[in-house]
Amino acid sequence: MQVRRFRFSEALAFALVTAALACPTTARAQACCAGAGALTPGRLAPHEDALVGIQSRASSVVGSFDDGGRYAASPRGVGELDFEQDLFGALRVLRHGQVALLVPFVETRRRTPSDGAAFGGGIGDVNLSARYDFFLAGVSRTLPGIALLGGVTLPTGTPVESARRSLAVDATGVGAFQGNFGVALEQSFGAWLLNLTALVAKRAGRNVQGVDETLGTQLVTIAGVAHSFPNDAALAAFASYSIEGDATINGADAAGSARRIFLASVSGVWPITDHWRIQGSIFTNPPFSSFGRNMPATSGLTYTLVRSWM
Amino acid sequence: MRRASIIAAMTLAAACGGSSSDDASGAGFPRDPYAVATSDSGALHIEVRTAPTQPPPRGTCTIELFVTDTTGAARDGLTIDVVPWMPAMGHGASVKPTITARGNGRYVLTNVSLFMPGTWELRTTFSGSLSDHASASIPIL
Repeated sequence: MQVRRFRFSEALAFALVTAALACPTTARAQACCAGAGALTPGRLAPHEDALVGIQSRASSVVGSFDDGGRYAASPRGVGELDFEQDLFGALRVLRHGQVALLVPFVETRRRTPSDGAAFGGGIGDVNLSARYDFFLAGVSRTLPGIALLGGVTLPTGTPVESARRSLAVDATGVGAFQGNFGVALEQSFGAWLLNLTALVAKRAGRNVQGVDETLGTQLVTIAGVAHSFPNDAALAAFASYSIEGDATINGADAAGSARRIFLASVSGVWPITDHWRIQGSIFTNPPFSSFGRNMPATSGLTYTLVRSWM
Repeated sequence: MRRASIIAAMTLAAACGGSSSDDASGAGFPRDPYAVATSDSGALHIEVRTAPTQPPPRGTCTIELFVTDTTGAARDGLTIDVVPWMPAMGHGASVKPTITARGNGRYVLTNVSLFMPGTWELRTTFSGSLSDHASASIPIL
């Protein structure tokens, strides 16, 4: 089996896939309610040895889904804007293996009729992740690219109970270790690249304010397609669906606490030089009933700048 | 102690007309409860009313707990601790409510910070003349 060479645009499409994938798994309505992430915006393309970058994210909470999946728009007079700046880097440590580090800075602005507006933030939960590609997409017509993913998120942020500012706007983390494991399948067809990723996430339990709680196991499924163009730009569309079981409170199942959320994202990448690229995306939780459960609905955008070394 | 039994029911009459306040309790709360709960042991019945509006708005609000026993008699003299909690999100609030006994079974919680949309629980522990626990669900839009 002969390994073919990747066009630069195809390699960028790989990178774009990662950027787009990173949105569904790390985009969060509130810093206090994040899911674990094994994907960062900084996946190395096959020809890259290292990269660093920054991703800026802004999103707005437009409504919420109740425990029956019914959507309700946010009432007049209330609002929430969430911002995040992620510093990330990735390094190839094996021919097919790479590790990544992501350091988030999180800010939140909330407004309510009774409290007015408040703004705060700080460093969020740092994430370490690794990826190993057993096969690369496009190497074989019948065998897709197969990769294993793993990640751990450290409770370096400020959990809600430690927040000091009004409306807990300075909460930046979940207050617990999180870990996950996943499998990614990819296949290329000319300028097209298809991706299917599944992640399982577990959050460690914690005892806060006399409540011993463990969030349920989370399963995230992501499907997407990317298309690269002759000028090395690329576009991608992704959808993710996250399901999570009931939480456990003081050893008992907390009925009705399970979560669901669907997210759709469109992304683009534009190469500035061989070493610099910019990426952008828009994402949304469709504000319609049955697209979520026990979750806020958000819409937002990201902007990413990456510097890579080959 | 058996598992916490949560019996919280929305009262339709209270759910509409969000700013209605007929001052039935003397503290600016509506006449009809927003939610009701029964304690783990079944010994206590708790009615939940909210202000300044009912349903409560997102943000800081005031909540009244009207506690009665199985005969319907108001229960005074209880020591109450309340932890607002979001079970689906795995966290509580950053502010601990202040609880004041108003007499005739009424306990008023001030500075209750329900800052996120979703279902909050008022995890309530009773101590003093008895030990018990109850939770009432409070949806926030």
